[in-house]
Amino acid sequence: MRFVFLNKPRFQPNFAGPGARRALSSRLTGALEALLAERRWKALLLAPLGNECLARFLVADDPPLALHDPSIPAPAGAVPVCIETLRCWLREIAARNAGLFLSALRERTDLPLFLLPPPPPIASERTIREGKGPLHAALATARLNPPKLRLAIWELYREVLAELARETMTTLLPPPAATRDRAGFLHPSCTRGDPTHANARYGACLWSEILRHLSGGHPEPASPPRMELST
Amino acid sequence: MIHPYRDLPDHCYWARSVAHMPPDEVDPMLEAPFRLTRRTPVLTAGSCFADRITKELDARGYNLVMTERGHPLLPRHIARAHGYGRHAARYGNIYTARQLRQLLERAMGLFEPVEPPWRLRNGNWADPFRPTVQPGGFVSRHELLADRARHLACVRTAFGTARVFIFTLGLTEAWHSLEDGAVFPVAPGVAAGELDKTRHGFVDFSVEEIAADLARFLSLARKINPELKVILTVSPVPLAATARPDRHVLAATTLSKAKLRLAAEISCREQPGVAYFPAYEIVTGPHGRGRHFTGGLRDASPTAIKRVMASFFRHFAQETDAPPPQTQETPPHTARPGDRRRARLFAAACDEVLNDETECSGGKSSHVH
Repeated sequence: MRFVFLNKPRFQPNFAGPGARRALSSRLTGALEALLAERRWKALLLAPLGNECLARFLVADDPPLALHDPSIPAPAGAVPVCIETLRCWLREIAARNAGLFLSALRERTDLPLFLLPPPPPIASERTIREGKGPLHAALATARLNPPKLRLAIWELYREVLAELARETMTTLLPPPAATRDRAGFLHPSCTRGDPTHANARYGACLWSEILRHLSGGHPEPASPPRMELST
Repeated sequence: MIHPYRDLPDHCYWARSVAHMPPDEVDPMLEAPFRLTRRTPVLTAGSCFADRITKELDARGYNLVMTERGHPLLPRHIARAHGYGRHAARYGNIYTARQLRQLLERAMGLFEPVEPPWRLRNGNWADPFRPTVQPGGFVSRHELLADRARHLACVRTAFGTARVFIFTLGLTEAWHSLEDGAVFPVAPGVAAGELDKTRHGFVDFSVEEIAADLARFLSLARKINPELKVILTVSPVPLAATARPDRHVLAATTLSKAKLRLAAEISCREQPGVAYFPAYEIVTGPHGRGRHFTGGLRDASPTAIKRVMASFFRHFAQETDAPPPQTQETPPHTARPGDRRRARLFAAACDEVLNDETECSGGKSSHVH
């Protein structure tokens, strides 16, 4: 497996255009094309900007967001959002996070594409607050969204990514069962003290799953040549 | 020689007030019984023409009542597409007086229709009383019912908050439940559900029924809000289709509009605090000389809307609260900053157009609301 930094030596911007009208910058697409020109890849694996969505719904907004779901208690003053409305919103987020890369790659190659969704959310509020990532200070006093709400949004985001994957003939690789607890959250053994990222054990589980897919369902003993993209 | 048509005001004579007037100056509104300021809480509802009025009020900074808002983080265009911000609450288009009365009865807990949720092709559910307000539908009956409960509470709050309610009467034809008479904005099977002739029927409301529905609505609304004043208009938008095979759609349109106009007149005569605003006459009068409808001959043109709103603000706006001169003189649909965004935001779904599938698919016209 080869891990490739597309913007090495570092360059910015990776994206052109603001917010919802984000597009891949010409330097980034140029770097993609240069890599594809090497013609030695067996498959491409993408994990683009997944934690952007996790982080977006980590902290409760004012007013808090809620779903019409009796199993997820809504805080006082919460404004409910219907699932299909939320799905539209997540589709826009996914389109500018994963969709840009998938479309750009699919336009340029017939190689197998694999897409990794972000890891499932962490259930434990304590683990999230104690994390040492860049959100640490902000999370110290912030009110977090209920874990079940975060999980429901993550599941919906995964469905949206699956739609994108189908549209671009990409295989979505869901997190293996071993990386999730009984309720579906990120398994405590897969956290790494960061509110939106998983750890090396999570990566190892994913790696096994990737190998299984690349070998047609059977784990492959040797590492095949392939490329993981990161910006 | 003395006769009754001498010495009347100019507006009583066709030649003086219509035929020989510049079209911009033809104004059939005489005197409004009340006026509103930018602080007056205004509630709007009705057929898709009501969207045009709402849009103009919003553009001029009037105080539109909004009680059912989407979550503030939702991108605005997504919120609008899901029915938030078009009117005070997510009730979608209200075409008939019966639908208006029924909405308030439901909001006040006086009527609970028996019609179950309708299925969509994707397996989700649609609310029969606002079937297009949630694109993609509700994912469960629970979600539908919970959202409906919130919606009806917001409707009640809206009628309790407003000081002026502007309602555009759109249609007389409707489909209803044969079990309890509950009317639907669109026929079962058009946007969702299935038509079941043992449970659903067609109704073409009479003048008396429409006037009675308006009277019942007003009596209920004033229980919540005794000060509420009402401005009635009739939509100039022709029927997209009639469900009566024995009637040409043009004849059905004129009959429908005549009944609505007459019912509005009865309401103004019999109910205090109700005014009629002749938007219908401004748009459909011959002084428009063919310039008041766009390509599909159903949508009021920007010129027509400009004339309607000029008359509306001339008569209903408090003089001291008149819009700034540049706003008065600039056609609302030319390139004012932000108009394109507003136009997109207010691109409202006209459910009734769904009755004509060729129009929906763009086969006959480019429908602009």
